[in-house]
Amino acid sequence: MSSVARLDVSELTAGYVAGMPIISSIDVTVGVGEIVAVIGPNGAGKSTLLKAIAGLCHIESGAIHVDGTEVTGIRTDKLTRSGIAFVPQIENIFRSMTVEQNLILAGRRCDKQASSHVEKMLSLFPLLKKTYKKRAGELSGGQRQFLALAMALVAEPGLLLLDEPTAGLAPIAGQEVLSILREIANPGVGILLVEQNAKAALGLADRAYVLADGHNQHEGEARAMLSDPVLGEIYLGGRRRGDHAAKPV
Amino acid sequence: MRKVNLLSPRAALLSLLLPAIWISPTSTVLAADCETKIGAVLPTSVDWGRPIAETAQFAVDLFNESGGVKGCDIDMVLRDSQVDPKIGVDAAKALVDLDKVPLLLGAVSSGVSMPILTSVTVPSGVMQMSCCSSSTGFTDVAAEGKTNGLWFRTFATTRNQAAVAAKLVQDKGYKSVGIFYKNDDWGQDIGKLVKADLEKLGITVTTSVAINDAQPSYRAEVTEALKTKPEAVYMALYPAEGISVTREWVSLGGTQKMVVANSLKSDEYRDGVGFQYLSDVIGHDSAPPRTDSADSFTAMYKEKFDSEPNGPGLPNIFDAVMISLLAMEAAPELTGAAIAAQVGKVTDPSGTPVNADAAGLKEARALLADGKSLSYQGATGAVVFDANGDVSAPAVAWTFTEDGTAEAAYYPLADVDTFIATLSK
Amino acid sequence: MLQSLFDGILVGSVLALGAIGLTLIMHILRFANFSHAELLSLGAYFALTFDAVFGAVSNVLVQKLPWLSVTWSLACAVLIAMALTGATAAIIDLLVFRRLRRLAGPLTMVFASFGVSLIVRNVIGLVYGLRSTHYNNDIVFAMMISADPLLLVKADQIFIMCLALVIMVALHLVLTRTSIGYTLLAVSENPTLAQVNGINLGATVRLAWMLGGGLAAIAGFCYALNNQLSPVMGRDLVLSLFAAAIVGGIGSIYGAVLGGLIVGLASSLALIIIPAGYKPAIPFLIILATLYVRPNGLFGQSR
Repeated sequence: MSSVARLDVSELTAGYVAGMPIISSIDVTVGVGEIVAVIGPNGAGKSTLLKAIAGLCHIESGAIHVDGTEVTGIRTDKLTRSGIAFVPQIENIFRSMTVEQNLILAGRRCDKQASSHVEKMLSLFPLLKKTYKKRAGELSGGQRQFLALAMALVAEPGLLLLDEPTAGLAPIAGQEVLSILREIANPGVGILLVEQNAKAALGLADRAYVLADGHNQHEGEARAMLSDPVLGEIYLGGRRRGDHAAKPV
Repeated sequence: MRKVNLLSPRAALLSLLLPAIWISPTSTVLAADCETKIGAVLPTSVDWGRPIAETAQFAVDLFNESGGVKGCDIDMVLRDSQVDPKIGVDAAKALVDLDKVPLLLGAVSSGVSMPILTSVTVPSGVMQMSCCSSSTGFTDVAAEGKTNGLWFRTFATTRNQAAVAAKLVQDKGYKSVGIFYKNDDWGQDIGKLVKADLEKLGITVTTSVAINDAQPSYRAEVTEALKTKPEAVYMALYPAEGISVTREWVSLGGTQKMVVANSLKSDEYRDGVGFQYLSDVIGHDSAPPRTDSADSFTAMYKEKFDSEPNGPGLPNIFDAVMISLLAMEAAPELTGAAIAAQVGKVTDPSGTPVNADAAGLKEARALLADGKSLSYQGATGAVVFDANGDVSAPAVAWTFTEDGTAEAAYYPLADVDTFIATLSK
Repeated sequence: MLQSLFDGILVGSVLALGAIGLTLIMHILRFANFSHAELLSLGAYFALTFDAVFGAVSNVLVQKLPWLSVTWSLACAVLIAMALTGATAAIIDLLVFRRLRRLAGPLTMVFASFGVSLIVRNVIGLVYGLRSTHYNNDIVFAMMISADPLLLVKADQIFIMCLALVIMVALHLVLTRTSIGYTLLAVSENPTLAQVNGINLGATVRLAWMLGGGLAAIAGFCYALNNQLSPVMGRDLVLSLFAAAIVGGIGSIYGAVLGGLIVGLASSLALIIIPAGYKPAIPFLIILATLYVRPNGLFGQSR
């Protein structure tokens, strides 16, 4: 198993409307137990990349392999029933349903007994125990993000796709969310993480990709990137230099 | 024009499917070499409008064969109204402005005839005679002096039917009545008239409830009427909502003593409600006159078209044409006002009776040449216009039977007129 | 007053059954389906047909249910009608709406739904004739429960109310207790997230059509039992159904129930205040008033 990457994206060109790609020729790999961050300016195509992998975009060309099996163009619900979990940035929980119903619904997509998995999630996220019978729409931002993570993990995926899990959260809540990811990755789950907060993401990740204008710009060890002065200037909170600032697509 | 409205949804559909059928104004015999134009605006593109136009042309041909007007043939220029007020007005304008007709026949629906009258014929001084418009609105307009005596119709008004309805209630001895009326021009008209007539007769009207088209349920309306506990009900409805209202009414324990308008004289209504609940129903309807002249029209029509003149307005358009042309013959000049002034002379009850056939028309010409007045005896009997250009008509009362309807009573023209006169006092 | 309340609740419960399916489909597929009301007609006529079939097959089935004017054969026919109407709804989606969802915008879908409703209405007229009919030609007389205040009630009407209540409770249990219910709720709230959670969107949409169609059949049957069958009954009901769905908030099943009751009660009670001639305006007024105060309806969520 360990020789095959959890996720192998090669030469992927995709968008929302046929003939109008948002990302082009993207290459990304995520190994077993590896946390990989995708950073880049707004409109770089980071979210589109995740959605394309999750089967929610129109794929023009390229290939996606998960655990060595090609999954390019496979319907989302089939993908997410076979080991991939995707947490969208917003509207990632069912607000009209209770926490319990959300978890049961999410757990239904794996064949195993759902209730034991739900139990496991409650021990992983003890916060959710207190709000178990509450409507998800009444949860705080941090609680919602934990619920969304729990919904993704309840089916025991091999690959977790996270779209800006800290967006809109208070800094402390954001830290809490990120800190749990290492725990998740340890048993071998591959995590592909898209983040605006590049510093935090690189601090956590093993490797990282920089995307701009829908293209691969840079790839490398996360720690190395953190200390790269040029990248630091552009993406990690330093002052922007006009020439290097990426234009929104 | 009840029957016409009943048919209209299907007719309108047909008119979409079929190309408009143009009736060419062919005169079978061209007796004279001069021509006088008159105009006609009729709904030729709907299936019930075509026979009306054909009958009009038939009357014109008869008149031409007997010698035309002042020695000239009449050329009836026919335009389609499509049962649309705007199109009707445009057609009438073209006839008046381009063809310079002094006389316009039409239209059928009151809603089309009225704008033509007020915006085309009266301002241009053209006489207008309709076969089929029944609205009492025309009576009001004429009474206000706004028609300048240019308006006539050979169709008895709603007023006439309302009076008969009141008479039926009175004859049945009902002391209090609830009214359901269709919420359209016709229904509002007759509902209001019946209410006024009943009250004049000393009969209590407990409530008057408007019934709208196409409502999912009429329960609330029926409940409102039920609360007033009338001894009998009067219904001026169409079968579609009439069935719902009647069934709801009966099921809630409302009285089965009902007086209904001619619009419910149909198998659809009888079968829809169930005959067993309609044994106490009496209805009113206008009736063809039982005179020789009416029979002779039927005979002539059958010979020409090989069918009974069963469509709506056929005797009425025939008489409208004949009376108009006789008035033209009598008029010193062919202007609308001059022709209209002679209508009274050719429909004078004290004049010499003449029939609407070849012999009668010949006799009429001779009498007019001598300056004598005529009493025209036509397809709708001895036509007499009142000061507002309205005619009266005989009526029948009818009841439902196992397999249709049966006549319960016939009210000749004189009886109807006498009764209306007592109501008007 | 009492009578108007009773009538309003009766009409309202029938409207609620019809509006549930409408609101589900409107929410899941994001378009105003004007042909939904025709499914009520279709269901009512399917029941009429199979009532005749069962009645001809067995003498036992011609017996009436105790107290009611409904025969056993009609009761069985309603079950068949539900299944058939649900299947028809799914087939219409397959033939018309599914293609358009891929190729065209929501406005096209709305126009297509107008077209579908015309086709269904005219086919019904062609097959069954344009005249109105009844399941039972005998008029069922109402019992006077009270003379002052006036309250007249038919056993059939109590039956309709109970049936509507039972179905709504059953639907509530299905939606809140079963995984099928979760699936429907999830798809109606967020189709993308539902897919991400392993839900087959196409299958769920089909399920929603079948459920909506089945409920429409029941609603059509109840309406026809209390009033009459007519090819235009869908047309007569469509505005009230939309009013119920909009008042309740598009997508909210409980909102549709409340909306149905509000529209039914308002139409019934309003006649105490206003002349009957203005009754058709009431659903419009309710829609306007609701949208003015709460643009997303009583239970609706903003998007």
